[in-house]
Amino acid sequence: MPWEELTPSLFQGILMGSLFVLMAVGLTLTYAVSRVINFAHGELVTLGAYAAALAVNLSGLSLLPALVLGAAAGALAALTLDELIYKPLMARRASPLYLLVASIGASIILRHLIYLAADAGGWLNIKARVMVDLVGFVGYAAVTSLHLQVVPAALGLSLLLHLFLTRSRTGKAMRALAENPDLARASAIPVARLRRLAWLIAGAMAGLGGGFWAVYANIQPALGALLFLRLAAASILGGLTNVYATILGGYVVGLGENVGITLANAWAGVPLEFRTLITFAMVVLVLLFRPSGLGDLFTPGRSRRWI
Amino acid sequence: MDLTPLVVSFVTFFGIYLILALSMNLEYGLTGLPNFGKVFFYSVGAYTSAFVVSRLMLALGGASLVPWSAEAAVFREELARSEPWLAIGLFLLCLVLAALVGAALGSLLSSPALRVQDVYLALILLVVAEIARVYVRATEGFIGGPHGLGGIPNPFRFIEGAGPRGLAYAGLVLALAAGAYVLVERITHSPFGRLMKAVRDDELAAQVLGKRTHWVKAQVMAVGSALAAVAGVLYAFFTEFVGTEDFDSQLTFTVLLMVILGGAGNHRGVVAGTLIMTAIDRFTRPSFLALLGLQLPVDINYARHALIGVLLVLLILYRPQGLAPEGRVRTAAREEVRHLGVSS
Repeated sequence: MPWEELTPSLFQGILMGSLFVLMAVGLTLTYAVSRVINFAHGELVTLGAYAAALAVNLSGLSLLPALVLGAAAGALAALTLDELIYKPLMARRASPLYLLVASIGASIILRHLIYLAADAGGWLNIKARVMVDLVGFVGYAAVTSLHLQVVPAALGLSLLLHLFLTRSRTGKAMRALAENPDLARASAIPVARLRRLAWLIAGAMAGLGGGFWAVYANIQPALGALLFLRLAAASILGGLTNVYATILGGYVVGLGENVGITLANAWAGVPLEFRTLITFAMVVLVLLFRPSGLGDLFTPGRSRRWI
Repeated sequence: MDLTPLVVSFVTFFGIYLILALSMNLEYGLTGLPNFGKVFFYSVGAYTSAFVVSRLMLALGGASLVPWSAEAAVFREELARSEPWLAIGLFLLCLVLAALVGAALGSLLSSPALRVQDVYLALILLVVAEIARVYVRATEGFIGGPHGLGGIPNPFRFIEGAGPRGLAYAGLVLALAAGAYVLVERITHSPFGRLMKAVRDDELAAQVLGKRTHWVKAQVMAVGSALAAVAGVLYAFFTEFVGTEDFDSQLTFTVLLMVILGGAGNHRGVVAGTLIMTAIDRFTRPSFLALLGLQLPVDINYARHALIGVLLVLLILYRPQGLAPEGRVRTAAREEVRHLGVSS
């Protein structure tokens, strides 16, 4: 096995995995708290990417405030989606399938509004003008400043989320809400407020992931739609309900699409174009045979862990 | 101003979309099976046509060309012009083959429904469609990979002039769509149709009554997917080109919107929904607006898609039953009672 291919793919996999973690945790969080598979989650990523890229390119903001702006854009859009579409639907006791169809509609709307705006502004294919510096080499793999920003951001925010969910009163209430909404309401947990908070967190993380993506590669209005099935894969590996398993799932997807395809290519001659097929195959298998995903690893003996 | 191309494209696409929407109605509307991989079964028909026609015509014509090359496409068009019966025969062969392949794949892919709930089935079928698209796109030896495959000659290639040829084909597509309508109506009002609704409304109750509900789902998916594959064949022979770009999941959701707009479970409503959506689809093309001399400040393609999303969300929010709610079941006995003048 040639090292010169494996180490770069490992570092690329870690970078992609971290980006997938940032983007997918929110999808899991919103599903757990409101039982909506939010197809428009990809568009939250796109919005964050555009907000950050435009902030850098047009108003010359530095990276950190631009990323905060991206996160804010994602959070705001997520909250709007829930308030305008999902909450009213759930008040009418819409079936999960109706919620899914509505979220697909929401994703189509957002994506093409972004298209219209980007077309008008001439931003159909842009990149945040941020210098990515080469920091050094590990073996044959180049380590860039992007690695040093994205990986700590993903891991740090995951840790923060963990502390929030396990140590704070609000976080514990959120877990209670995810586990049993009726019981949570009966226990005087402020369900509506927690739900808003969950959507804000989810949107902010997606927007932040998008902001980093605008530094990593060119962005276009279909960015989120193209990424959605892959970031949803991380969430599905997390059983759609378990944040910890989603974090693991993000790295499984990132490494599978990079280290996995490199190995498959070297040993079995699998074309590199098939990299996403590894992810999609995992999605189908998990949905079919282990709907609780990797969540079982964290709570042995229990059927499903919520958040 | 010659309106023939416009009429041809409108009627042909209406027929193709109608077959797709009716098949979706059979699955989603009547049986409660969210086949979000609809575009996959549609692509199966198109890929089957491209594969079979490209190989067979070269073999029969005795030409050793690369099937997806431009020379081969020209060769096929020429052959179809000089040999009308060959072109028509190949078209019919593709219809039958695609229906069979579609039915087999449809019943096979209904098997996840044995294990998982409707939302998960929807996700699985959506991912399957994406897997197929990525696979076909990356495999050049199948239908030319990323470049696609042209020169799938229209069965009416022998008719000189694009206008009359297009009209003849549009008529054929419309006739097949009418056939599909009769078929789904017959299925819906048969005892099997009532069984489908039972599976949708209360699967457990149907099972308690001894109905093999997974077998019902497999049969519905087989019929629905065969219809979708037939629509794919009609599309391939209309555009005379097949590439993976045409089989984006966006089409699945457009078809789903036709069903929800018209009224899930009501075939007549779905015809209306399809007519409205085809009109929106065809009359908001830049080429059509250019014909009228209209110049819009925004890209109409994006606006059209945004409108599709808005309609989908508004319908689910405010009128999930669509334009025409599902009617009651018609049975022979009920009809007889009605004719006797007794209110049932």
